[in-house]
Amino acid sequence: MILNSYIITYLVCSSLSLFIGLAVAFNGFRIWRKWDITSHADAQYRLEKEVYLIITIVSLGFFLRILMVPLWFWSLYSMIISIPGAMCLVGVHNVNAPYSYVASALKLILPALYAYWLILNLLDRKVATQPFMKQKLMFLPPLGILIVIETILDISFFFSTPPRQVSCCTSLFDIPREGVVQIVTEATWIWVVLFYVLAFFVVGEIIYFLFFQKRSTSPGKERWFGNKSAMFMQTLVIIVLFVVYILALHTKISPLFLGLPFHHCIFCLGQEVWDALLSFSMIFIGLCLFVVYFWVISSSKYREVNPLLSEKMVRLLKWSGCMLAGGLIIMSIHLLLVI
Amino acid sequence: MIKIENVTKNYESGKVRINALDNVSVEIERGEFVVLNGPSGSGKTTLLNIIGLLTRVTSGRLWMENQEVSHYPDHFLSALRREKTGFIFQQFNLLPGYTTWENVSLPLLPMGMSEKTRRTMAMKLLEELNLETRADFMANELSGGEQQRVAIARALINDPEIILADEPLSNIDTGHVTIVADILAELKRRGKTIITSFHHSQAQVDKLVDKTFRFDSGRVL
Repeated sequence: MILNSYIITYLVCSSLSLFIGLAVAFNGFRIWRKWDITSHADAQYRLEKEVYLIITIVSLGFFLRILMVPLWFWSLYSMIISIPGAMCLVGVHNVNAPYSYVASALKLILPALYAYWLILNLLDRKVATQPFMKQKLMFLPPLGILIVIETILDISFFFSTPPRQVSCCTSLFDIPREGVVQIVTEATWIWVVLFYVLAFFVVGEIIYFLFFQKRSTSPGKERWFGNKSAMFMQTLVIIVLFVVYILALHTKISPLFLGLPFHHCIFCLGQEVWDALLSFSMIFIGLCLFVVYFWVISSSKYREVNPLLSEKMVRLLKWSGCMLAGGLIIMSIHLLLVI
Repeated sequence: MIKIENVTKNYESGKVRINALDNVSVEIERGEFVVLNGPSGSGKTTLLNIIGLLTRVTSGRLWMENQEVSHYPDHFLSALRREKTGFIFQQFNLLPGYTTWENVSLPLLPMGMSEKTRRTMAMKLLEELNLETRADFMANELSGGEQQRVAIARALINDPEIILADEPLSNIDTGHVTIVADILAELKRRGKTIITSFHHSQAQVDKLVDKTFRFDSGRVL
């Protein structure tokens, strides 16, 4: 067991996050079962009041989750000196791999899911019929389950760290490879080019949707954007883009930005090159907002209230485009400077 | 403009159920001066609270400007209440720890206006009601008639279309009754919809009245 001030602070936040997650999951499910917007009963009015409380708690939970992202990575960073062989976060992760990587991924996924819920709530509150109420209430129990899984992983990570020698980034990433593995992991431009192609495709899509939505008043024309298969396709494109982005960072961008031709560690990149971290955050937020946009417009409820919310959705898409384009510009400028 | 369709309102306290309104239907047009008449406990205040969006119906429908608002969530009702209605309470309901102008400007607080703007707007109304010299007095330092005029100013600060007044003349002396009646007449002249409740007929406002609904045991007679 390793404990220091960073880890203790993180664990306090994690406990609070678990409490919030479980409270909203349980109450969300309870309200979902009883919710009937057509009812005049006092019980329904009480449920409505409870939903306001849930919104407040989820908002608090969201800010806590945002705070927990740097706290988690600082906690891991503080463990480097206690783990034999660890020189950066890769070594710390390897103590409990692959669970530690799942825990780290959840640190990014959970705030994104909270943000999705809050955006859905923001849209829901703009319409008197509250069309997304059941959808947003039903979203809370799975969110609670994910937080429980994350807490179990965190506790097992901090409280059962085995005292063993670990491999770190230099021994894992910097050794020469052969064949297909070489193409995937070595210093080639393939992933960078592919990343830019996909990123420009998504930025182009955003521009097209903004342009299309402004001009089109026909509900029929919007339909193909809002169906489920379009949602799955777009989500898949974003997942592929994100994977390609990670590979591009690993293969070419990290060695170039770090100025070490054989050093491919993304964690070292994030630790030492602040603008790389900024562009990563912006690209990640931009992609998340883009996915949220498609998840919302593919909802059958959205079609019923489209005219009331289309302005808000356009704003969401603009934010997504600005974040993505901003991240790309920062990364491209740095890339041009090092080339 | 306001349509109440088969509205019933029940209050429950433990096992006791009180039927405050029983299948009430009322229609009120824009700019009308409407009086709800009847004995204590007959349902006048409950209906005023329903029209003022302070309470919800148990069954039936409430329409405001062609929108059915009976199922609106609370944050929608709050916004409507803030924009469209001004409420003058029987007991004035002023906050004793605050000055006159602060009480008057209370409805502007959620609109995010600066203190300077709020004070300017409050002072303008206080001048109209001859209360400018009392602007910095604490609410509890005012006489009954002055408190009622401050309550009226507070109800008018957001320039509402509908003014609801629950027994506005019952807690003030005879001298002030004429002043308040004159204010109500001026509001009617400006085209405001006024809905007020009285225990019994009030000679000072009788000439303003367009419609009267008589209540007894939660029913319109």
